[in-house]
Amino acid sequence: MLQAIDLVKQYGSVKALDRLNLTVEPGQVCCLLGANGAGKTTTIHLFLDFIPRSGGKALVGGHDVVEEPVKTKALLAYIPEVVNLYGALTGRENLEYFVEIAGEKLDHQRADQLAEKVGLQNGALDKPVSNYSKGMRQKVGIAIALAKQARALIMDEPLSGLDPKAANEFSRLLREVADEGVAALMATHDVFRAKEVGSHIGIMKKGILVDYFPTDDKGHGDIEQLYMQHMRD
Amino acid sequence: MIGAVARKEFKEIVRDGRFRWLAMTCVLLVAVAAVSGLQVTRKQLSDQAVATAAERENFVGQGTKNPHAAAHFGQYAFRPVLLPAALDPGVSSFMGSMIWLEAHRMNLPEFRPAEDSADLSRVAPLSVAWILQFIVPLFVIVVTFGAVAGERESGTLGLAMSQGLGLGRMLIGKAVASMGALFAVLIPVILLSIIVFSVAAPLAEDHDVGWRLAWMSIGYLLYLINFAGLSMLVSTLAGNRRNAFFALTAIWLLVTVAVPRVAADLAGYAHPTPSATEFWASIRRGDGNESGLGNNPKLRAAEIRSRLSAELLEEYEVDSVDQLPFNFTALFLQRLEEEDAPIFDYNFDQLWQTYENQRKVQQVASVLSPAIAIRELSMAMAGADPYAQRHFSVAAEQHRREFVGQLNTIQAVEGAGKRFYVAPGQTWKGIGPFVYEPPSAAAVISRHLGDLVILLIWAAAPFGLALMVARRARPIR
Repeated sequence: MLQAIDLVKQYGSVKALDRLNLTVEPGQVCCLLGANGAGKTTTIHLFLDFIPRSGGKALVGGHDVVEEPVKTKALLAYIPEVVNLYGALTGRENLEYFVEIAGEKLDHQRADQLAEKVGLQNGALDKPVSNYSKGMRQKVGIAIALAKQARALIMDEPLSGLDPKAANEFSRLLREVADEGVAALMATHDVFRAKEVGSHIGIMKKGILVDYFPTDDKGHGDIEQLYMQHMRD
Repeated sequence: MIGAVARKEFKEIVRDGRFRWLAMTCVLLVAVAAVSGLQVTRKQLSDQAVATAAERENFVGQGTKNPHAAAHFGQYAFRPVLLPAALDPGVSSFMGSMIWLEAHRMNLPEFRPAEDSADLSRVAPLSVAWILQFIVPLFVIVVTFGAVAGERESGTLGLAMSQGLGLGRMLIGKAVASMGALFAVLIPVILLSIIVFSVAAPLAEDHDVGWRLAWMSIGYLLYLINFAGLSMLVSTLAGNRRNAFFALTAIWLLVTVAVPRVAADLAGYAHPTPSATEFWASIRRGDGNESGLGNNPKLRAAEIRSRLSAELLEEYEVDSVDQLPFNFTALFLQRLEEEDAPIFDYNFDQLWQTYENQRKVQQVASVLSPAIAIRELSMAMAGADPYAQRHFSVAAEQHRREFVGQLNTIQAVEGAGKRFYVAPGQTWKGIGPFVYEPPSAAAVISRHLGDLVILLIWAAAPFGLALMVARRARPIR
């Protein structure tokens, strides 16, 4: 569903991403681990066509994100590190807006169901977003992704700044979504959460994917050790 | 998709406290300006109605008199005030409101309202046009400057674009919403103005008021769309709200203040208006005199008299002008009028041409500033531009020549064989009053099609550019 083929991003002489080859199949959750500047966010931005690529290809559902942006955007949902919403609007209005611009319709009842599913407190949906905590905003972001019924989910540090309970809820939701056949690509710093939700982990360093493995045969400690080893090399 | 963006944007705008305050301020300003403009116009209309009636009464009631003395008694022609001038007084404060019509002399309009005004009113005269030309564009900028830059800065642009929303569609939706919000504020004010105007209308003659207001509205609509387009363009190009706001404020200052000011100075420099002293000196010198009779008025008059006398004595085969079958003096006076007419026509045409040339320079400058184009279009439609003055002056002069000619004819016929003829008092009723019809709205708009085209280009170009930029723009710079 998500595929990077020799994907390159270069800023002058600096390679932010160097010939990335990566495939995330439906039902897989791929977590990209790495230090700041490793190329995780660059990968995310290239899949979203937020920045121009320097070489290679990024495909969503087999469609090139640069050549067929409408088709690829229809297949994917994006949850940024901080889900910025329109503060003057209520959570419901935000949800309805983002779903509508994705070409879907959202009725009142469905919005309530989504709010419940993502764990938004009763009544919160009708309050202005300016009063929302970061966790609540992230939940609206997930609700938007769920409402869109996207086939691929791209997330950039979605757990950053969330309290443990909210992070747990987020992980649960992500697993549910993946079980429904959605392919997910998530950039994160959190080794523990990566093991918990990820079916695969990629370790990035200086723009290069230095390691890529499934998580089912590795424990938290193994992954942490592998990660630290790559960081030291 | 565009509808969704427009609805969301509209909600955001109207929930914004800054918008509400600005809207209230604009409504108050427009209301105050409309009411005060209307009061001034009503006063002018009613004063003019009274003065026109009194003037006619004076002329008709001047009693037994020599017809040429009646021509010197003269009469005032009043420049009609059009109702749209209540919205845009244009340069009418600096144009004379009436012309003194008398024998031998074509006069310039006099009694400028500005002469009676406090000095401060010249600094920033409050009118609906002034608010629409200067304040409302700023209002549009304040409401729209963050359209794209704000979304980029806050991160909502990325989320929106990841949903498949193209920046072009977002721009159109935002433009529709911001113009909608603007008109939600302005339309009640316009409706209120129409009600107030319809109450005032009985005092004014029609003069295509409806069409004039319609063309003004179209002009202002295009003018304000231009600022919304500029805002969208700059907001798309700018990295953040702060940069967008400063750039747009600078553009506003340039477009509404600096360029029109420089253009006016350039126009005056390229085509200087003669001073009143120079102007009348040129007429006294007889510039434009094609009769070959020299430029000394007294000698020229003597020469005309002598030539006419010789011509008539020969034609009628008599020895003295007293033997002619008509009053010679009346014919001489009429000939004098006819010989002087080209001098007046030449000098006044030069003056009008100077104004026209100045307008053309400004029209060229309006390529850089739509404020010039809307100002010209608006005051022309309000009947408050120099061309309205020219049209009125030409009509008044036509009337002067007709009524002086009529009086000379009366004297020529009735005063035949008499050294001094005195006409009975009822004679003056036969001299028709000055009836003036300003140019139609169609005639005015055909003169200002260039301004309309400039406004159209200014309305379309920034949007077009913004859409082009949007095709390549990304949420992250």
